[in-house]
Amino acid sequence: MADRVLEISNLVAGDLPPVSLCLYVGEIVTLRGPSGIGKSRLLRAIADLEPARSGTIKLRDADLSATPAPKWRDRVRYLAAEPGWWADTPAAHFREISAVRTRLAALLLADDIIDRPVAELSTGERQRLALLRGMEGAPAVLLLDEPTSALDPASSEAVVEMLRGYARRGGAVLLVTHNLQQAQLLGDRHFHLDHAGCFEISRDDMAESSK
Amino acid sequence: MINQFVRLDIFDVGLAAILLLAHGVVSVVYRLGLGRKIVVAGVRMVVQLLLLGLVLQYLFALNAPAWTILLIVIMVVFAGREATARQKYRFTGWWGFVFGTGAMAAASILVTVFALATQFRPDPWYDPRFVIPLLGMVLGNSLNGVSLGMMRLGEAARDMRPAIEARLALGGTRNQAFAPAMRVAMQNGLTPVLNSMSACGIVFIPGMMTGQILAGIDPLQAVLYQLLLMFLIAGATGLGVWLAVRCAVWRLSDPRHRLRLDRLIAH
Repeated sequence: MADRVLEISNLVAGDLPPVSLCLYVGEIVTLRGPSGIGKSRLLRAIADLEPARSGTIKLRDADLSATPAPKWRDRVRYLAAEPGWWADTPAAHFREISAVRTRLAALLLADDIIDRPVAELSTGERQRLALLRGMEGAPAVLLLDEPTSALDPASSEAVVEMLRGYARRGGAVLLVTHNLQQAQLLGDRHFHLDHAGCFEISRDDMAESSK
Repeated sequence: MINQFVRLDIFDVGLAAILLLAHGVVSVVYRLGLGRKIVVAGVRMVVQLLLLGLVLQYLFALNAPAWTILLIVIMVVFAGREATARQKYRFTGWWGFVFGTGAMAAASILVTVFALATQFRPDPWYDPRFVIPLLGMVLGNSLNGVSLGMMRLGEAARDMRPAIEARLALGGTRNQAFAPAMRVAMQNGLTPVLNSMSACGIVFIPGMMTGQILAGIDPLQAVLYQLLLMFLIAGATGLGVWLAVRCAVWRLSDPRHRLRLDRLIAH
């Protein structure tokens, strides 16, 4: 059995049924379900951005409740569908700008983009910059909420490539996406979330349930 | 010198009250619907000030610490109510009132005690003739800043929600995440006192100074008094705004460094 990174047991977030789910090193797991069911809420609860009603989450051997919240979120990163920015330029949001500059091209971003005002960037540019920002410092787990929703096919493909590289280097991804093709292409395992619960389903069942 | 001032009687004041009719005329002509409010505000002011005058007269004669403290408590509670009454976003429960009142009271009392201990040194030190006017002036003026600061923080927490949560989600602490919101809230709270500091003397002559000069005090002495008061007010406002905003940030987040907008309700 591969190395277990994140272990979620009977987590209850909002009015969702209990969710149990494991992430292993190097894998990308997709999470799909009807709109408004609470997928974002589940990701937020895993990142401890909102309180869970019950259940436990463990990152390797460390229990969420025993880990300081900032440290937990530094290891288990939640990237919102619409990223927020607290300074004028993207550059001010990064820890090591020189390292980021070398990775811009991989996501088809211009060199000077991190010094331009955030307000002038397109939604797609902001989304890709948020991914770079979220991957800084090599977190153990990425919780991604529709990371390619604003991207054209070429940029989407670049993001997919970057996520694959991250998983290969020992990361783990929980990916919420509406895009069935992307889920099939990228996911190693698949989960379906609705009011009945959160279940692992096969690639074919996923295609079936989307019809 | 003190005998030079013109004694005012009730008719002098009544004559000036006629000017309030101008408000009524404007309200009627432009259909502002403020007629009732103007009357109520005018009557409230007259009654409140007359009551204050009577209470002060009595209190100064009495010179008893217990009664002075009671009046201080009443002043502080009313100031707190005023500061938190017209907020666009309010904290659930009594928190807003507690923060506003607590911050203002702490800052004003500290600054007043400082002034009593260093500049005025009355004997006894709790002489109500010094304590009450000083505290009243400082409270009334820091009220505005505290009120604005807390209101702006509530708005900023809502407006900046994505930015605050992005920072938290990347492993930032609540202090880091709230820093931009705190900055705009404090700027907002401190603006009025900075404005009045730079404008007073040119754009307007402060009310207190006007009163002193009319009452026959030497203008330079009046200026020194005004300066002292402005510094006290600036100090109390700075301290009060900082305290109130700090407390509000504490309440809008939790020990797990989450943004807790559920503790804020739109009014």
